Amino acid sequence: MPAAPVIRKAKQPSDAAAGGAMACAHCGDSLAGLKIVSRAIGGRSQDYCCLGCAFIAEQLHLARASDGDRVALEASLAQGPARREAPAGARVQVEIRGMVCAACALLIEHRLRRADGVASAHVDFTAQRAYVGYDPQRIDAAGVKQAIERAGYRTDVGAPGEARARRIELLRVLLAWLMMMQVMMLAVPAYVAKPGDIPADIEQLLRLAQLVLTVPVLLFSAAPIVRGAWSQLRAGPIGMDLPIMVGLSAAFAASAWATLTSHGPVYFDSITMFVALVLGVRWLQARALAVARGHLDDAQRRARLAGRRLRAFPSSLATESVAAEQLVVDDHVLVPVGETVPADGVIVQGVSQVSQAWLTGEATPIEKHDGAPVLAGSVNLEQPLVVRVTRAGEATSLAALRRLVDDAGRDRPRIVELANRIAVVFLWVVLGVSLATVVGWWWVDPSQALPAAVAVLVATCPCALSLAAPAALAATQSRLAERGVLTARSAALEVLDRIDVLACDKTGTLTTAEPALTRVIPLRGLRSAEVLAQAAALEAVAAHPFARALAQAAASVNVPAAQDVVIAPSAGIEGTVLGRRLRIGKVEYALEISGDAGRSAWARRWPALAAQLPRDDSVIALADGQGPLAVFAFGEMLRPDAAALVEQARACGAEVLLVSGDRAGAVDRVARALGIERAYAQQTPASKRELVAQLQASGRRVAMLGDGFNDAPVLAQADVSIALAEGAALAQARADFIVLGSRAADVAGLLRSARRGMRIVRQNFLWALVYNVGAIPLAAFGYLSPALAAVGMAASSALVVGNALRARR
Amino acid sequence: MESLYLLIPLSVVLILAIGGLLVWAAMSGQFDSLEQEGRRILDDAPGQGARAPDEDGGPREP
Repeated sequence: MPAAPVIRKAKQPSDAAAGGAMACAHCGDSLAGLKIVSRAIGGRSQDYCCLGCAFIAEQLHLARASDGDRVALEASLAQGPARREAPAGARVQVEIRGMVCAACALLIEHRLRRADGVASAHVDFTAQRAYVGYDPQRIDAAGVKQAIERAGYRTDVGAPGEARARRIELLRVLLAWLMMMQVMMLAVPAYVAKPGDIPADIEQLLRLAQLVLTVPVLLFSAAPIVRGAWSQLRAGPIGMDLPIMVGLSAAFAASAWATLTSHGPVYFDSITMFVALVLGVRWLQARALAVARGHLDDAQRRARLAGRRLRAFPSSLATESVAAEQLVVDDHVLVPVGETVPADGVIVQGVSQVSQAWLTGEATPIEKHDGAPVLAGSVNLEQPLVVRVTRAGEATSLAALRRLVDDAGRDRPRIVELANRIAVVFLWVVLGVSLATVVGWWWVDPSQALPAAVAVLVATCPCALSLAAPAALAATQSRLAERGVLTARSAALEVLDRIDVLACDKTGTLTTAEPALTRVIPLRGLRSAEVLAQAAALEAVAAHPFARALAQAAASVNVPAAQDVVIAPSAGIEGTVLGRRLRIGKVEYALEISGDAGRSAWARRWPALAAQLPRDDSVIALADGQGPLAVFAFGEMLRPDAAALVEQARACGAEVLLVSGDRAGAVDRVARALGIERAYAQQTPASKRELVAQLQASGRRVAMLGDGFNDAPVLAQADVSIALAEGAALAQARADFIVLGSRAADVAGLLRSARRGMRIVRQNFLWALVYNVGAIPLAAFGYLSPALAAVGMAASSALVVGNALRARR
Repeated sequence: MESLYLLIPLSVVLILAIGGLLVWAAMSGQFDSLEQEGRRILDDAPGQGARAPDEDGGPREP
């Protein structure tokens, strides 16, 4: 789905829509209840169901207008349904770039089916792929690609194995779960029946049935575990797969033997259940990663589409279509409405609403003026923009973020490593103990030797141990990803749980990066709302941060229109509001309009005013011909959720420090407002690093929270680093966690999640160890029957997975 | 009781058949994209492409 801009709700058919029917002008889908995108294409305004369709319609229009093959295209459109009697002679898989929603996939299918020689076409939206059967006498693979490209998409011939591999992985999980349920049903009678209730031959039949159903689970579903165990055995290092495999094969061999000889217990239910659980957890893990990648991929695909390079920007607006990878720094690109920004850049011309949903997960568009940075992958929603490229291709924030997500899975927390090491030690201990059990029982009671040894092997299969940490970590990370917190290093979750100090940067972290209106003092008996309305009216045309702050503050008052506005660069604005000539801006500039009278009035009032205004704030004045009307102070505002963050950090047992490069006054004010005791002002990046190093030398674990850009050295020094990456800083962000939405509340949530997640890991770990270690002597001395051992093993695995799922809540 | 001699093997055969059905469903791509298949029923021209989007109300030259 495109991060759909809310243009307007469909209430009545647009007068421009064909025949008054409420249907998308491109794909023909009904528009009822949808958010309509209106676009003027070829001089006519049309309504579309989504940005994807509008975009394609425009591409088609451009292709027709510019390529001169309009006649050919129209002819191919008029051809009607393809003659489908052609037998499918050959098949090809084509990777498609630029599909925005499932509607696009259906559209391409339509197109392909009408192409001459195509026998069958299926487009898979999630895999971004088309599967096409065709008659090689009438069309070739290149022709198929062309047909797709004519529909406005880009293509690559895909690697054929990938979709198949994904299907097989899913199938492994599905089959394991199906068989687990059935084997369980067949196993139940043996658990509930008293001895002699079930005739021996019926019991034998039930066991045989279980055996038949368990074999596909072991041979097919558990194949990745078997492969993993085998490669670990051959090439090392030994991980979790080998101990699991030993447990599984021991249990299966014993059960199969018991079934064939009609003597001894069977554990088919435990085997299938365990395989189903392990595969289920692994599949969820893979899916969580895929979901995290998914929306970035989406944005990347759209950004890759094409850029419209302005060949000679200031002098002409002629564009050429180039692939986004071909853009270089300082190119100028035109971003029409509804299109995706192809590279990171700065707006040179235009004001528009831009959706950065790929970055923040929020569909709410942000207003961007000239000079504002825009990121590749963002969607332009209102007005065409001219953007000067600052980073292109692999250097964009989008590509950087994608690489981070890719890398995130590569390292594992210490506790997972520890679990693996323990499992290996455990394997040898268990093998030793079961051998000793056989030998020991041989002297006492040879008939007990084999059951006891098997009970040891089954009861101590480190299943719960192998699931304990990964399941909880996967659940925690997917929870974080949902909230827009990317985990760049999963090992950092463990460190974050035990921090002693949270050092925070101030600007852009605890306070807003843009100034806000902190104080309005109306003069001459005016009301605040009045002067605010006048100031906002004058500043409405300006792109200055103060103007935005004023507009925000004046959102609830009725702002009149200003006439004859004159902008004095870096001084202020003059204009007529409600019949009066006014000036707003720097004090000296504003007072010029009232001459000496105004200046002397100002000189009288200033000492009293200065006392009322927050220190360190910037002040501008509003004046008319008679003298000053009001003063406005702008300064940093605390982020609304900063206090909650400080509180959460304290609740986690961490001291909060404020470390800032700003002046002492501003830093102290923030520290006081948040109740932070230790604040360090006027720090350079190097001295911040020094400070963190000193804290570490005194044995404390330090987490650093910064904007990820100016704070790079100190982020690297800290034990764990969290970056609030807002837009442009993202590409440079080097941190363990990246908070995409830049909300302080998400940092508090991160602290909470890390704590909760690690607590669950420890609980799981403890339980798995206690169970496995406790079961060994019981099984070895014959107190734990193999059947009971199997129930215990399955129950502890289920318990561990269920506990892990709590981390998602 | 005797019926169990028939019913248990029969249930095993049935389960294996269901398993086979699952294999067919997954390998023919039915679980690939649940969302898109859900929309297909809204498509007027299943498999034929009889009504192409551009033929009714598509953007045309002014």
